Amino acid sequence: MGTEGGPGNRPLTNLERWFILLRRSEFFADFTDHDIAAIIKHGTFHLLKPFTRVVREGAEEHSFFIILDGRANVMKADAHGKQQQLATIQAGECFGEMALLLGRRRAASVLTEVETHVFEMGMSGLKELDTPLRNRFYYAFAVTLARRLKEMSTKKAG
Amino acid sequence: MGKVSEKDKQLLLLKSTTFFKSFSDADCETLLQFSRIEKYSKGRYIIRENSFGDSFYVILKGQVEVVKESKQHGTIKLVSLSNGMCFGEMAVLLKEARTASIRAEDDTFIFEIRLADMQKVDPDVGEKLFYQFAVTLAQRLEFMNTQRVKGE
Repeated sequence: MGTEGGPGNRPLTNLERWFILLRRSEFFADFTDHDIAAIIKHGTFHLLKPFTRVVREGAEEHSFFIILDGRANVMKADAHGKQQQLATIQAGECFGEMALLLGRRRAASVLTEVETHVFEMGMSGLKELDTPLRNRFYYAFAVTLARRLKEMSTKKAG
Repeated sequence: MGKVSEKDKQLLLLKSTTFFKSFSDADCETLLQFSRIEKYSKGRYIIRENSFGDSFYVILKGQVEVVKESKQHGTIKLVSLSNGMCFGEMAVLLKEARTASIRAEDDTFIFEIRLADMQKVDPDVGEKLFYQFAVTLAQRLEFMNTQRVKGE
Protein backbone atom coordinates (compact mmCIF):
# COMPACT_ATOMS: atom_id res chain seq x y z
CA MET A 1 0.00 0.00 0.00
CA GLY A 2 2.96 2.38 0.18
CA THR A 3 5.78 2.91 2.58
CA GLU A 4 5.05 6.50 3.57
CA GLY A 5 4.93 7.04 7.32
CA GLY A 6 3.11 9.73 9.20
CA PRO A 7 4.82 12.64 10.96
CA GLY A 8 7.72 11.42 13.11
CA ASN A 9 7.59 8.13 11.16
CA ARG A 10 4.63 6.85 13.14
CA PRO A 11 2.47 4.36 11.20
CA LEU A 12 -0.19 5.94 9.00
CA THR A 13 -3.75 5.86 10.29
CA ASN A 14 -6.36 4.13 8.14
CA LEU A 15 -7.81 7.52 7.20
CA GLU A 16 -4.42 8.76 6.05
CA ARG A 17 -3.81 5.59 4.01
CA TRP A 18 -7.21 5.85 2.35
CA PHE A 19 -6.66 9.53 1.63
CA ILE A 20 -3.33 8.78 -0.08
CA LEU A 21 -4.84 5.93 -2.13
CA LEU A 22 -7.83 8.00 -3.27
CA ARG A 23 -5.57 10.95 -3.99
CA ARG A 24 -3.42 8.77 -6.30
CA SER A 25 -6.31 7.40 -8.33
CA GLU A 26 -6.85 8.82 -11.82
CA PHE A 27 -10.59 9.15 -11.22
CA PHE A 28 -9.97 11.86 -8.60
CA ALA A 29 -7.24 13.71 -10.54
CA ASP A 30 -9.34 16.92 -10.76
CA PHE A 31 -10.68 16.78 -7.19
CA THR A 32 -9.15 18.89 -4.40
CA ASP A 33 -7.74 17.49 -1.15
CA HIS A 34 -10.77 18.99 0.57
CA ASP A 35 -13.04 17.06 -1.84
CA ILE A 36 -11.22 13.79 -1.06
CA ALA A 37 -11.56 14.38 2.68
CA ALA A 38 -15.34 14.87 2.26
CA ILE A 39 -15.69 11.83 -0.03
CA ILE A 40 -13.96 9.54 2.50
CA LYS A 41 -16.74 10.23 5.01
CA HIS A 42 -19.50 9.05 2.65
CA GLY A 43 -18.05 5.89 1.18
CA THR A 44 -16.84 2.54 2.45
CA PHE A 45 -13.40 0.99 2.25
CA HIS A 46 -12.92 -2.75 1.84
CA LEU A 47 -9.81 -4.90 2.06
CA LEU A 48 -10.61 -7.99 0.00
CA LYS A 49 -8.78 -11.30 -0.20
CA PRO A 50 -7.84 -12.77 -3.61
CA PHE A 51 -10.73 -14.26 -5.61
CA THR A 52 -13.38 -12.36 -3.66
CA ARG A 53 -16.46 -11.46 -5.69
CA VAL A 54 -16.94 -7.71 -5.46
CA VAL A 55 -20.09 -7.59 -7.59
CA ARG A 56 -22.21 -10.40 -8.97
CA GLU A 57 -23.61 -10.45 -12.52
CA GLY A 58 -27.36 -9.81 -12.48
CA ALA A 59 -27.41 -8.34 -8.95
CA GLU A 60 -29.75 -5.42 -8.34
CA GLU A 61 -27.30 -3.09 -6.59
CA HIS A 62 -26.02 0.26 -7.72
CA SER A 63 -22.84 1.42 -6.02
CA PHE A 64 -19.69 2.23 -7.87
CA PHE A 65 -16.17 1.17 -6.91
CA ILE A 66 -12.61 2.34 -7.31
CA ILE A 67 -9.71 -0.09 -7.07
CA LEU A 68 -7.22 1.63 -4.80
CA ASP A 69 -4.59 -1.07 -4.65
CA GLY A 70 -4.46 -4.52 -6.30
CA ARG A 71 -6.54 -5.58 -9.31
CA ALA A 72 -9.72 -7.37 -10.27
CA ASN A 73 -11.14 -9.19 -13.27
CA VAL A 74 -14.44 -8.59 -15.04
CA MET A 75 -16.16 -11.93 -15.68
CA LYS A 76 -19.30 -12.72 -17.63
CA ALA A 77 -21.15 -15.95 -18.27
CA ASP A 78 -21.19 -16.99 -21.93
CA ALA A 79 -24.11 -18.67 -23.72
CA HIS A 80 -23.14 -22.00 -22.10
CA GLY A 81 -22.89 -20.50 -18.62
CA LYS A 82 -19.09 -20.63 -18.58
CA GLN A 83 -17.34 -17.63 -17.02
CA GLN A 84 -15.27 -15.64 -19.51
CA GLN A 85 -12.80 -12.94 -18.52
CA LEU A 86 -13.61 -9.69 -20.31
CA ALA A 87 -11.10 -7.27 -18.79
CA THR A 88 -8.79 -6.51 -15.89
CA ILE A 89 -9.35 -3.46 -13.70
CA GLN A 90 -6.14 -1.94 -12.36
CA ALA A 91 -5.45 0.28 -9.37
CA GLY A 92 -6.89 3.76 -9.90
CA GLU A 93 -9.67 2.56 -12.22
CA CYS A 94 -13.35 2.47 -11.40
CA PHE A 95 -16.29 0.20 -12.21
CA GLY A 96 -19.98 -0.01 -11.44
CA GLU A 97 -20.79 3.53 -12.53
CA MET A 98 -23.16 2.30 -15.29
CA ALA A 99 -25.35 0.53 -12.72
CA LEU A 100 -25.30 3.65 -10.52
CA LEU A 101 -26.21 6.04 -13.36
CA LEU A 102 -28.73 3.84 -15.19
CA GLY A 103 -30.13 1.84 -12.24
CA ARG A 104 -29.47 -1.42 -14.10
CA ARG A 105 -28.61 -4.87 -12.80
CA ARG A 106 -24.89 -5.66 -12.83
CA ALA A 107 -23.86 -6.52 -16.41
CA ALA A 108 -20.91 -8.65 -15.26
CA SER A 109 -19.22 -9.98 -12.12
CA VAL A 110 -15.98 -8.56 -10.75
CA LEU A 111 -13.56 -10.78 -8.81
CA THR A 112 -10.33 -9.73 -7.15
CA GLU A 113 -7.18 -11.37 -8.50
CA VAL A 114 -4.92 -10.43 -5.60
CA GLU A 115 -5.41 -8.80 -2.21
CA THR A 116 -7.24 -5.60 -3.17
CA HIS A 117 -8.30 -2.37 -1.46
CA VAL A 118 -11.56 -1.05 -2.86
CA PHE A 119 -13.53 2.14 -2.19
CA GLU A 120 -17.31 1.87 -2.61
CA MET A 121 -19.90 4.63 -2.86
CA GLY A 122 -23.62 4.33 -3.51
CA MET A 123 -26.15 6.93 -4.68
CA SER A 124 -27.09 7.63 -1.06
CA GLY A 125 -23.46 8.53 -0.30
CA LEU A 126 -23.27 10.70 -3.41
CA LYS A 127 -26.46 12.53 -2.39
CA GLU A 128 -24.87 13.43 0.95
CA LEU A 129 -22.09 15.36 -0.75
CA ASP A 130 -22.56 19.06 -1.47
CA THR A 131 -23.88 19.77 -4.96
CA PRO A 132 -20.71 21.20 -6.56
CA LEU A 133 -18.74 18.13 -5.40
CA ARG A 134 -21.45 15.79 -6.68
CA ASN A 135 -21.25 17.62 -10.04
CA ARG A 136 -17.51 16.92 -10.16
CA PHE A 137 -18.38 13.24 -9.68
CA TYR A 138 -20.81 13.28 -12.60
CA TYR A 139 -18.19 15.02 -14.71
CA ALA A 140 -15.58 12.39 -13.72
CA PHE A 141 -18.08 9.62 -14.63
CA ALA A 142 -18.62 11.29 -18.00
CA VAL A 143 -14.84 11.42 -18.64
CA THR A 144 -14.49 7.73 -17.70
CA LEU A 145 -17.37 6.75 -19.98
CA ALA A 146 -16.02 8.87 -22.85
CA ARG A 147 -12.64 7.08 -22.59
CA ARG A 148 -14.38 3.68 -22.70
CA LEU A 149 -16.46 4.71 -25.71
CA LYS A 150 -13.36 5.87 -27.52
CA GLU A 151 -11.53 2.61 -26.70
CA MET A 152 -14.46 0.60 -27.95
CA SER A 153 -14.70 2.63 -31.19
CA THR A 154 -10.96 2.24 -31.75
CA LYS A 155 -11.13 -1.56 -31.26
CA LYS A 156 -14.14 -1.78 -33.58
CA ALA A 157 -12.35 0.23 -36.31
CA GLY A 158 -9.18 -1.85 -35.90
CA MET B 1 -52.99 38.74 -29.24
CA GLY B 2 -49.52 39.49 -27.92
CA LYS B 3 -46.39 38.34 -29.74
CA VAL B 4 -44.44 35.47 -28.20
CA SER B 5 -41.09 36.84 -27.04
CA GLU B 6 -37.78 35.37 -28.19
CA LYS B 7 -37.14 34.20 -24.63
CA ASP B 8 -40.49 32.41 -24.48
CA LYS B 9 -39.74 30.70 -27.81
CA GLN B 10 -36.40 29.53 -26.43
CA LEU B 11 -38.02 28.27 -23.23
CA LEU B 12 -40.59 26.34 -25.25
CA LEU B 13 -37.83 24.77 -27.33
CA LEU B 14 -35.92 23.66 -24.23
CA LYS B 15 -38.96 22.27 -22.45
CA SER B 16 -40.09 20.30 -25.51
CA THR B 17 -36.75 18.42 -25.69
CA THR B 18 -36.39 15.08 -23.87
CA PHE B 19 -32.82 15.94 -22.78
CA PHE B 20 -34.26 18.70 -20.56
CA LYS B 21 -37.32 16.82 -19.27
CA SER B 22 -36.14 16.99 -15.65
CA PHE B 23 -35.61 20.78 -15.80
CA SER B 24 -38.28 23.07 -14.33
CA ASP B 25 -39.32 26.37 -15.97
CA ALA B 26 -37.10 28.21 -13.48
CA ASP B 27 -34.17 25.86 -14.28
CA CYS B 28 -34.58 26.56 -18.00
CA GLU B 29 -34.64 30.31 -17.41
CA THR B 30 -31.44 30.07 -15.38
CA LEU B 31 -29.82 27.86 -17.99
CA LEU B 32 -30.58 30.31 -20.80
CA GLN B 33 -28.47 32.95 -19.03
CA PHE B 34 -25.36 30.76 -19.41
CA SER B 35 -25.95 29.20 -22.81
CA ARG B 36 -27.22 30.06 -26.25
CA ILE B 37 -29.72 28.68 -28.72
CA GLU B 38 -28.89 29.19 -32.36
CA LYS B 39 -30.72 28.34 -35.56
CA TYR B 40 -28.58 26.67 -38.24
CA SER B 41 -29.92 26.63 -41.77
CA LYS B 42 -29.60 23.49 -43.89
CA GLY B 43 -26.01 22.77 -44.93
CA ARG B 44 -24.40 25.04 -42.36
CA TYR B 45 -21.61 23.57 -40.22
CA ILE B 46 -21.98 23.61 -36.44
CA ILE B 47 -18.66 21.91 -35.69
CA ARG B 48 -15.66 21.36 -37.95
CA GLU B 49 -13.54 18.19 -37.88
CA ASN B 50 -10.10 18.69 -36.27
CA SER B 51 -11.12 21.97 -34.59
CA PHE B 52 -10.87 22.34 -30.81
CA GLY B 53 -13.82 23.44 -28.76
CA ASP B 54 -15.14 23.56 -25.23
CA SER B 55 -18.87 23.41 -25.93
CA PHE B 56 -21.51 20.73 -25.52
CA TYR B 57 -24.50 20.77 -27.87
CA VAL B 58 -28.08 19.46 -27.73
CA ILE B 59 -30.42 19.31 -30.72
CA LEU B 60 -33.67 21.04 -29.75
CA LYS B 61 -35.43 20.82 -33.09
CA GLY B 62 -34.35 19.54 -36.48
CA GLN B 63 -31.66 17.13 -37.63
CA VAL B 64 -27.92 17.16 -38.17
CA GLU B 65 -25.50 14.86 -39.94
CA VAL B 66 -22.12 13.68 -38.67
CA VAL B 67 -19.63 13.82 -41.56
CA LYS B 68 -15.96 13.04 -42.07
CA GLU B 69 -13.60 14.13 -44.80
CA SER B 70 -11.75 11.47 -46.75
CA LYS B 71 -9.06 12.18 -49.34
CA GLN B 72 -10.28 9.25 -51.45
CA HIS B 73 -14.04 9.54 -51.03
CA GLY B 74 -14.68 13.20 -50.19
CA THR B 75 -17.27 13.99 -47.51
CA ILE B 76 -18.75 10.84 -45.97
CA LYS B 77 -21.90 10.90 -43.88
CA LEU B 78 -21.68 8.64 -40.81
CA VAL B 79 -25.04 9.10 -39.14
CA SER B 80 -27.92 11.53 -38.53
CA LEU B 81 -28.78 12.89 -35.10
CA SER B 82 -32.13 14.39 -34.18
CA ASN B 83 -34.24 16.01 -31.41
CA GLY B 84 -32.96 15.44 -27.89
CA MET B 85 -29.60 14.02 -28.94
CA CYS B 86 -26.36 15.64 -27.90
CA PHE B 87 -22.97 15.95 -29.56
CA GLY B 88 -19.59 17.54 -29.03
CA GLU B 89 -19.14 16.08 -25.57
CA MET B 90 -16.40 13.57 -26.42
CA ALA B 91 -13.90 16.19 -27.58
CA VAL B 92 -14.53 18.36 -24.51
CA LEU B 93 -14.28 15.48 -22.01
CA LEU B 94 -11.20 13.93 -23.63
CA LYS B 95 -9.61 17.33 -24.43
CA GLU B 96 -9.10 16.34 -28.06
CA ALA B 97 -9.81 17.77 -31.49
CA ARG B 98 -13.27 17.19 -32.93
CA THR B 99 -13.23 13.80 -34.70
CA ALA B 100 -15.97 14.70 -37.19
CA SER B 101 -17.91 17.67 -38.53
CA ILE B 102 -21.56 18.30 -37.69
CA ARG B 103 -23.76 19.89 -40.36
CA ALA B 104 -27.44 20.85 -40.26
CA GLU B 105 -29.63 18.61 -42.48
CA ASP B 106 -32.69 20.81 -41.90
CA ASP B 107 -33.23 24.21 -40.34
CA THR B 108 -32.12 23.18 -36.87
CA PHE B 109 -32.17 24.75 -33.41
CA ILE B 110 -29.11 23.90 -31.33
CA PHE B 111 -28.53 24.48 -27.60
CA GLU B 112 -24.86 25.20 -26.85
CA ILE B 113 -23.14 25.55 -23.49
CA ARG B 114 -19.45 25.87 -22.70
CA LEU B 115 -17.98 23.62 -20.01
CA ALA B 116 -16.81 26.67 -18.06
CA ASP B 117 -20.39 28.00 -18.01
CA MET B 118 -21.77 24.64 -16.86
CA GLN B 119 -19.52 25.06 -13.85
CA LYS B 120 -20.75 28.63 -13.23
CA VAL B 121 -24.49 28.03 -13.47
CA ASP B 122 -26.47 27.51 -10.24
CA PRO B 123 -25.15 24.17 -8.84
CA ASP B 124 -28.61 22.55 -8.67
CA VAL B 125 -29.22 23.32 -12.34
CA GLY B 126 -25.64 22.34 -13.13
CA GLU B 127 -26.23 19.00 -11.40
CA LYS B 128 -29.10 18.16 -13.75
CA LEU B 129 -26.93 19.04 -16.72
CA PHE B 130 -23.84 17.08 -15.60
CA TYR B 131 -26.02 14.12 -14.59
CA GLN B 132 -27.88 14.11 -17.92
CA PHE B 133 -24.62 14.15 -19.93
CA ALA B 134 -23.21 11.29 -17.80
CA VAL B 135 -26.44 9.27 -18.25
CA THR B 136 -26.41 9.91 -22.02
CA LEU B 137 -22.87 8.55 -22.30
CA ALA B 138 -23.74 5.56 -20.10
CA GLN B 139 -26.72 4.76 -22.37
CA ARG B 140 -24.50 5.05 -25.43
CA LEU B 141 -21.91 2.68 -23.93
CA GLU B 142 -24.63 0.25 -22.90
CA PHE B 143 -25.97 0.26 -26.48
CA MET B 144 -22.47 -0.36 -27.91
CA ASN B 145 -21.89 -3.21 -25.44
CA THR B 146 -25.19 -4.78 -26.51
CA GLN B 147 -24.29 -4.44 -30.21
CA ARG B 148 -20.88 -5.98 -29.56
CA VAL B 149 -22.41 -8.99 -27.77
CA LYS B 150 -24.93 -9.47 -30.62
CA GLY B 151 -22.10 -9.36 -33.15
CA GLU B 152 -20.04 -12.03 -31.37
